[in-house]
Amino acid sequence: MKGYYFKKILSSIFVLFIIISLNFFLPRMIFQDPAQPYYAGVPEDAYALREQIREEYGFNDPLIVQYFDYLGRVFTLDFGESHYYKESVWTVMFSRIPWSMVLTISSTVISITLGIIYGAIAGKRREHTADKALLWLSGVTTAIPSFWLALVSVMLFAFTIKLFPYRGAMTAGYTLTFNMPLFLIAFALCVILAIALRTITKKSLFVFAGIPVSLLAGIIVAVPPADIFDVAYHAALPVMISVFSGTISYALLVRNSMIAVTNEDYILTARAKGLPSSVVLYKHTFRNALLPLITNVGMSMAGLLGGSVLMEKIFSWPGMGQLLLDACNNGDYLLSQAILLLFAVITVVCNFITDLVYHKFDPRVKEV
Amino acid sequence: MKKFFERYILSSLKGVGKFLLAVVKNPKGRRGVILVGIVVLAAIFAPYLTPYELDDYNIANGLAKPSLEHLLGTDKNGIDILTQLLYGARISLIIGVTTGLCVTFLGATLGVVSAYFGKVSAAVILNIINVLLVIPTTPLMMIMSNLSSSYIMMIAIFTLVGWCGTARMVRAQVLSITNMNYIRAAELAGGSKTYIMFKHILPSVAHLLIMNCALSCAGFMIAEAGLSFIGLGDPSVMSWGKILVAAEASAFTSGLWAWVIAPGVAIFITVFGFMQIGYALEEILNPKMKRKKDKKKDGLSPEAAAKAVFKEIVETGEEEAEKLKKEFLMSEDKNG
Repeated sequence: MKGYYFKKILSSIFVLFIIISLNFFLPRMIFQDPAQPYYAGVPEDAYALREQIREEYGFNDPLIVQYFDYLGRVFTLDFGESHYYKESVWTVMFSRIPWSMVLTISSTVISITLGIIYGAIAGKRREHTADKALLWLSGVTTAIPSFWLALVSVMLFAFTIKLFPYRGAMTAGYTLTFNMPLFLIAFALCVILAIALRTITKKSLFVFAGIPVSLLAGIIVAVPPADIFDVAYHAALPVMISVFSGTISYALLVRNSMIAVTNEDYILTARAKGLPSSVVLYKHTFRNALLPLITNVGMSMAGLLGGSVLMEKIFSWPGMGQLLLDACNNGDYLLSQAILLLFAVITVVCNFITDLVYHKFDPRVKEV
Repeated sequence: MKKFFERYILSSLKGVGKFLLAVVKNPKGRRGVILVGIVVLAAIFAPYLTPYELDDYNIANGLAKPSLEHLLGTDKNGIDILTQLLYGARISLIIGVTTGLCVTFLGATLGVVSAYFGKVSAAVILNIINVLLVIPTTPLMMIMSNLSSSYIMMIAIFTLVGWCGTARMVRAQVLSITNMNYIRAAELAGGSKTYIMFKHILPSVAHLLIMNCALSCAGFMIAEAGLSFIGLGDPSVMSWGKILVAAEASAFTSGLWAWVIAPGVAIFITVFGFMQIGYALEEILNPKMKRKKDKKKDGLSPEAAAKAVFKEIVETGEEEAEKLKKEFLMSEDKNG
């Protein structure tokens, strides 16, 4: 088993290395002059000055020297300064990540919960109305682009009925007050409580429910209620739309895996032992049917920080997707490089954790 | 020459005819063919179906409500939206179908090669897949679109990123086939790897590929609409995503519902049609999908379940006995 994880870590490092290299070479392929971000304020025809800047930042060195220079900067986590925002790339990114997480975490948690419930109902009673409706809905939601659904609901709820606001994450002119120390204290307390409950009751449920609950508790303590309501009011529409398609895809996954598990031999054995059907359903079928969900949740974890570009564009949500879009449109490649690298690192780490967790829950997995 | 004609061309034509007939006979296939057919015809005959052109500016008649002259109304510059929709079908179909074909071809080739042509090629291809799966697709596309915004570039990037899924699926399928006895037999009979690949392996994954092609066409159409909605599409051609961008800017406040609804319905019809064709192909081509009534094990009484378990144990016992018998005979063959 150790060899397996060693291999896995090695391949993750290799993947990250390739992505860092891509990050280095793409701007040099795409832009006429990769030194563009450093020219801030220098007029177009000041060739001598521009040449001086190029020399200063090492753009006239041989490519290989620049490459190692870039590698060094990545390892010291120095991504430079965004030339559009005139701030360090880290500051810009950290101001956006929480906003993306508001949308993605709430919609993921809600859609997983609803999806498991709906999937279990549909898988339990195959060929009944709920099951048929699920199959039909999944066909429809894959064929309808979710951004179009968002557009139609904006037009309906924000313009025709005027039930929800349309733009932004807060009412214009307001800023969020966030008390960092209070948040950390509440978060730490809740995590400790969850770990204590886990050790007393020996139920891993507390670990999984503990993380979102502690986050929520921290936010409730750290942000004044008026601000929470304002953000929730603005987030309602985008969250509802992502929940709609998310619920159906999770439900379909649970339903299919429940049906697959029902045909397994150990379910037959459980029945043959004479266990009541509710026990077979909840203790044998349902629990095993949730296994494939781990992989899926792990994959969506990677998207939690990234957010959805389309949703954020439609609702003018100040998240990471919108930031990346702006960075690309402004040619702010230092920023877009850092974002791409961050996404890739998160994906690699999440894949690795998913593997670990999956192996813990399902020891049957072969070491491929 | 005549023999050649009869043997290859005529028979393959017959096969294609039979296949098409089977698709049309399947209820899902019929639905899909009709929906996709409507869109294809609309795309081909776009100039004849509408009296307007894409550059018929008439700002005086801008933001008109749907009327008999303009069935879906007009945009800010007074250009007919139905015309935009019809011309938009062209680019959507071109990008969807071309990318679907390219992805399937590349994925199938690399998938089979990685599964059947030695460890080195497998390691190389699997590592490329690992890297490509980690790179977030949309951001990469946003960055690459700085290079060129032509729709050919979009097809290239979609293909570059999209083949991994197909390759993985094909690889898994081929790996399960290569352990089967008929492939072993072909190898023992002296068939070369290329021969076996074309004669035995490709036909057995063909149904997967054809279905996958139809489904990925559908998927890439949605992706194209999304990307041109973000503003990464080809600025010189009309596409459904672009109609929606314009609608977002001005249809909301003026309440022009048709402008927002129509492109979505068009996308839905095309994608749904392709998906239906894909499912129909799966039903027709995959012999394992021939409708068997599912064994309803969950409806069994405990006694019946116990009997079923018993029966399975007996059967596996019999298989074991058979195996032992065979091994015994084999060893006798060797000794004798």
